[in-house]
Amino acid sequence: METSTLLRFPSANSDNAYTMTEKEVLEHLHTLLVEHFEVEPELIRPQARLYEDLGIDSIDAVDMVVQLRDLTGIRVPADEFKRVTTLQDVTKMIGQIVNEQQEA
Amino acid sequence: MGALKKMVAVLWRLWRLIGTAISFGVFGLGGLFVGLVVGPALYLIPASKRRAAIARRVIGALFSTFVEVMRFLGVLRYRIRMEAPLPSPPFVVVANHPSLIDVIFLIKLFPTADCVVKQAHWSNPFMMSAVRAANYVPNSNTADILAECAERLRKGTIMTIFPEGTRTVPGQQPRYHRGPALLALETGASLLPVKIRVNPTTLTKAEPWYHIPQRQVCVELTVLPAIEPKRSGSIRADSIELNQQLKALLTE
Repeated sequence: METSTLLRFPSANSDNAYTMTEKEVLEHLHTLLVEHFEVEPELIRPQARLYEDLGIDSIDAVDMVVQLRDLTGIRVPADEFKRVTTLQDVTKMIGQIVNEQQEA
Repeated sequence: MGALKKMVAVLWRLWRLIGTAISFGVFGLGGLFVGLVVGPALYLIPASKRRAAIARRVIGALFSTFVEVMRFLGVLRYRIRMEAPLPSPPFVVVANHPSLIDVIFLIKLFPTADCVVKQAHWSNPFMMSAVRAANYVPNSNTADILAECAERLRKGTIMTIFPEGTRTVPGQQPRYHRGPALLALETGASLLPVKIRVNPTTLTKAEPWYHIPQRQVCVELTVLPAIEPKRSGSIRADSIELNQQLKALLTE
């Protein structure tokens, strides 16, 4: 998977484009979860809760922030990552960060 | 006869209420004394290993005295059982956390240990000088705690950590954080599980301090045999397994 996908992240002016990119981020996450965190692929869905459903604990979260940065170049503040519950929260947060970066 | 027995029981409970109030008073005065006199005095010593060692000795002595005061007042009795000899340092003391008094007993038991302590104490006027002088580890964020504890364990220390992070909420399944298991696997330090039973329960997350149980509180600490960390798969998988083993040992 090429790492530049997220650099082409569109701004959220079109609902369709936003959904698309969320999907792309989900794909990255999917690979990370399966290969690095040994999560069963069938458990992975947007509503899955990181800790309760996928067994991603606070140590994994630290790891995931680093991995996401390496994979996508996006720096997710660790403090904000603490507040996410579901996979969808993660993708939304990443979407927001990318949009902020583009506006800046 | 029945009425007399009842009256004795009521008086005994009333006495323990008074004893508990006195204990809190003693603890508060002790905190004030540490905060205003002992802590600042320790600050006269330049920050060093020696200062931390002295501070810990002082805290350990105060906590031991406090335990004896509570015992003398009849507020509680306690029993400490060793199921096996202590391992040689470095090791991580891991305990369940049913009550507020656990901390006092663990520090009494391992006064020289590096403890992971609630970060809020670093800005609490009663606690700040003591936790700072003792050079304890604040439970700031996962990455920093792990790095700091690993560094200390590599230097050969004893660390005391509550894997639950906070007191058990009665009736709820506690969540065991994987940090101690991961630290053991990463640094080769042993894990020393200490099982704490407080019976009947007191000073839990769900009770105010003046809720005095019918029977005298008994605190029982069982030091279980140390666990040597062994690697078999990925460090993540190994630490998850080791953590589950710990949780099974420490929860009822």
